[in-house]
Amino acid sequence: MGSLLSSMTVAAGALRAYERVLDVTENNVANAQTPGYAAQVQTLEAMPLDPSGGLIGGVEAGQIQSERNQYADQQVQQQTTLLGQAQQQVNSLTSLQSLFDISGTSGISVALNNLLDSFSGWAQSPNDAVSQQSVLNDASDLATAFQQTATGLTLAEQDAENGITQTVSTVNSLVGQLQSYNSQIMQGDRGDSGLDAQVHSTLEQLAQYVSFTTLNNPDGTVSLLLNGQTPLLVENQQYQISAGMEQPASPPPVNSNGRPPVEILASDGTDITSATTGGQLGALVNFRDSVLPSFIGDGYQQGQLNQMAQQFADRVNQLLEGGQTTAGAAGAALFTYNASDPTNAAASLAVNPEITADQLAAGDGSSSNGVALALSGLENPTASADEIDGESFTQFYGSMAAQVGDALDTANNDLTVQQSAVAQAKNIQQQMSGVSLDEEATLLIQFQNAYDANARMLTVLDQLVQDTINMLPTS
Amino acid sequence: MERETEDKFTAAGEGAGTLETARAAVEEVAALAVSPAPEVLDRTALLLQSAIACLTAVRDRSGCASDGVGQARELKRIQRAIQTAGALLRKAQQYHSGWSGYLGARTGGYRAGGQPAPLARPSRFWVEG
Repeated sequence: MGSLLSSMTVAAGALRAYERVLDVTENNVANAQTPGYAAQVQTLEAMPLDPSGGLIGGVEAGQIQSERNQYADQQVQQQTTLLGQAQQQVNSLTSLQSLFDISGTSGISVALNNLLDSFSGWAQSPNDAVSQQSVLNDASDLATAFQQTATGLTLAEQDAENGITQTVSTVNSLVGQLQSYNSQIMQGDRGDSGLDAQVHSTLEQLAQYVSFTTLNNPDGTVSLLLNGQTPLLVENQQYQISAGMEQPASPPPVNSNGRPPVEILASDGTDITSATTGGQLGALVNFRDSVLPSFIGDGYQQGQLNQMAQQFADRVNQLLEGGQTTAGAAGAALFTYNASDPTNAAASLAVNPEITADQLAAGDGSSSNGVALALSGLENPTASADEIDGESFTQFYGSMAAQVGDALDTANNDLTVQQSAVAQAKNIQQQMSGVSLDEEATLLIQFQNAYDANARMLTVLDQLVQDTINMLPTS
Repeated sequence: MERETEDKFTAAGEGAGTLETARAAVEEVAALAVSPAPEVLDRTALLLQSAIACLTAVRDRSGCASDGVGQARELKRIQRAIQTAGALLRKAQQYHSGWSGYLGARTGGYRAGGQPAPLARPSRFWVEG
């Protein structure tokens, strides 16, 4: 009888334990789509068995364990940071590309070609009032195109600054959420799988904005280090970051009116801009402080657009002012710009408001169209004075536009790769979860061999493509 | 005109392997590399091998190629596909070698130089009957 009762007690205990297992499984199924959720496992523990001592054995439910793999989580976060960076680069460069049209239908490219054509037409008929007026009109269009591009770049700069401010605010807000989760964990909610899911979902969101390292503390809380070094969160203490603009004192700026760079500051005021390279924030800072200044200038450089506007205006003015009008008077300058601010040359470029068509000097003393011919020669320069950095003005502009196009092309490729890389990290995370250590060791060795074989073949393939390209006719 | 050029090139390359088939193979490698498993990686190796064979055939014919522009464009697309496939395989390799190091450190500790201990490979044998 005693044996029957013992059996029933053991069976009842087993039923209770398996009911707990079913509850946990049901919860896993219900949360399959919950962001950040990691499957839970109900462990089972054998009860002591010693019939002579009254211990009847059986099974009972033990602790619930999480299947979370911190390494896999970290890999997903790292790839998400790279994805956020690639996405932001594509967004920023797409807006920039629209300012550098090379299709020949709008912008500086077409305006420059039209003006050079007008110079050519004027050289054919230097005294023709229509040809003279055409030069003035096309010069005005070119100045407008430079102004519009400069304005577009300034707007892109402001957009990037707004983007940085918003991203910093989002980062602080997400870290604030994590701080409140840490507080709940410290108050005893450590084993709550829902809270754990919220923490990891928030970490994944944060990863697209900045690069950070997560430290899992023994008490269940997480600490975060921005770029691996600046504390963002330690237990329930948040350290907010901020963004500002300040011109560094050293080295002293060359252009006093150049826009100061954006800087990202840690909560203690330390400048952490140079370390902020990852995620959307890193991409925005790079775009605002490096990419845009290369075109529009800053405290240390004039910017290619301003350089082109100034050198083109100077060369055209120099040729015209050295010539003679039909009436024998000295020529007048065609363009004006703000010479006191090199970073404002493109934005301030305009046709000289004083000039009239008959003040355009076509002759150079020896012929009636020497200057007009020299101006039309700017299209295919033969002298260094007519070039900018060793190129014609048209080529220089083409190179500038190509830089943007190439950078956007690379960014689009990076984005495609990163979208797949995030999916890959999540797939591998799934693949490795629940596999025994023995199986993992065997799998990892198989992986290594397979990667080596693939890598060798990719190298051969890459070389083959290059060889074939080299063999093609160059025309 | 461009389409015509591409068609001409495809026709010229048919038979012993074309750039399009090489590209399709490399693009499939990139798609497969999103979910790498040992058996998938065996397949990617075979696909890369077939791409190498196609390209070798194309290269051997290229000396008399008249359509340099169409061919160059297609080769650039292959280069891009190789970059994507290569990047994904590299990332997966980094993932697994990092995981291998992590497991090695957890099971065997660290070596004197601070590197994780190599992951012990379990010995097994099967008896079937």
